[in-house]
Amino acid sequence: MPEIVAGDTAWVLVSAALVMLMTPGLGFFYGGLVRKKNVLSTIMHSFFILCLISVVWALWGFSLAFGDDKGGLVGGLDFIGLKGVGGAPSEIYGTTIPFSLFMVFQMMFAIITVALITGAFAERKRFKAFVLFSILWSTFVYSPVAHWVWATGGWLFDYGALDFAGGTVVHVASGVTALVAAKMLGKRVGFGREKMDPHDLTMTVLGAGLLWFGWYGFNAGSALAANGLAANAFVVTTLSAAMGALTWMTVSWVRHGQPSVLGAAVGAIAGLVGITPAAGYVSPASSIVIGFGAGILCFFAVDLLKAGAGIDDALDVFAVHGVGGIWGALATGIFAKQSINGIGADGLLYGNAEQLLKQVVAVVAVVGYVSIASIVILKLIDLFIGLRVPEGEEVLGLDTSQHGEIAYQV
Amino acid sequence: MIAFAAFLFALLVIAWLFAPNEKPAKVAETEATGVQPEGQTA
Repeated sequence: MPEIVAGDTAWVLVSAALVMLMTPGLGFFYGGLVRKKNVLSTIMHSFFILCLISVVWALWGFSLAFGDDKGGLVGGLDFIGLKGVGGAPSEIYGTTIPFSLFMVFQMMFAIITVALITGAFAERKRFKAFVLFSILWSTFVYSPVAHWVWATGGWLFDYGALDFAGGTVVHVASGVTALVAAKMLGKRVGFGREKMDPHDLTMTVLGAGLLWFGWYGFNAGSALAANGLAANAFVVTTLSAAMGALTWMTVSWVRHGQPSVLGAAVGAIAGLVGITPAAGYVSPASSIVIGFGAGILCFFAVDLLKAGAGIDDALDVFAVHGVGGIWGALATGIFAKQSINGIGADGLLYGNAEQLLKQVVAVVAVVGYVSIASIVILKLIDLFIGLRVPEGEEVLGLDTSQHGEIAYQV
Repeated sequence: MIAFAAFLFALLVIAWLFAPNEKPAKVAETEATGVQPEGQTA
């Protein structure tokens, strides 16, 4: 019978709170990037999801993700309404902490994953459509994918794909959905003709700081114990974020002639995304390379998407989370080292090319399923409710048209 | 109790889906006059 360890429990309690803070932090990060007529609606997306997915996760989401395996694809209804999820540890998940703590730690991941997507449809999505989309996507996309990757019996888990803290489950899934949603919603009114500059970069940098702070719970907390693995995750998270910021800022300096503050903030997020799946498997030196790669790849993905593809992913969710997540997942297959984590594996650099193949399979599977499921959900919502606000309401701004409020009285 | 909790949540979801979406006065004004009212539009 597993026993609770006080130190582990204390650390995961703190980590869950840290990850919770990321979602309001994301609200600030995104809120600063939109025009001032849409700042409240953008912050509301994150805040509302914090509340909505908490309840969805408790009622059925957790059970679909971590209930008894059904064919490797989804969990059963064993834990519906948190039945049987109490203070005693699970024999499978987080065996030194209360099972209810494991559940609530996972809840914070479910919340922020849905919140990340909102950056793609900022400034034009109907609020009702957003509410329905969040419930359906969390149920039919997030929970099954979390099961595949993290649950005992999940097919990618059994296959041996590595994802320490959510590179595929959180970032690839949200990033790809963002791209699909941006394509299906269409461009904002005036996109490409009018300037749509961020209205408050101080807010965005504050949000990036809160996200970075919370990411320690996300990555180091995913060790589910207060131990050396958590400490290593903490170190590599810091280094990758720092390298992502330095790299993005440098590339933008070289290309545009000035070191961008926004570039530093977004680059740090790219570095954090890149290290997420690898945090429990790679050395500090590798994390510097991963952060560098994330900074470069995500920077050029933003440019390419805006100029080349002409898709209005308003806040660059795919370029940062999709591309960064894919890079991180593949980098795990390259840089992973079993001496860092005994239950991990060696990657390509340490003689195990097969691990990279496993990571590729995981990425392809998640991208494929998430794309198709998201298209179906968005099509259905468009049919019954409509995804976008009418043009007049969009021009006026969603703060007024959707919420009847404005952010600034000055 | 789980069923009752789920019922309460379902009530909220139904309320969200069927809640009125009042057209803001400013939108109506713009549609009627064709002139964008002054305010927080940027």
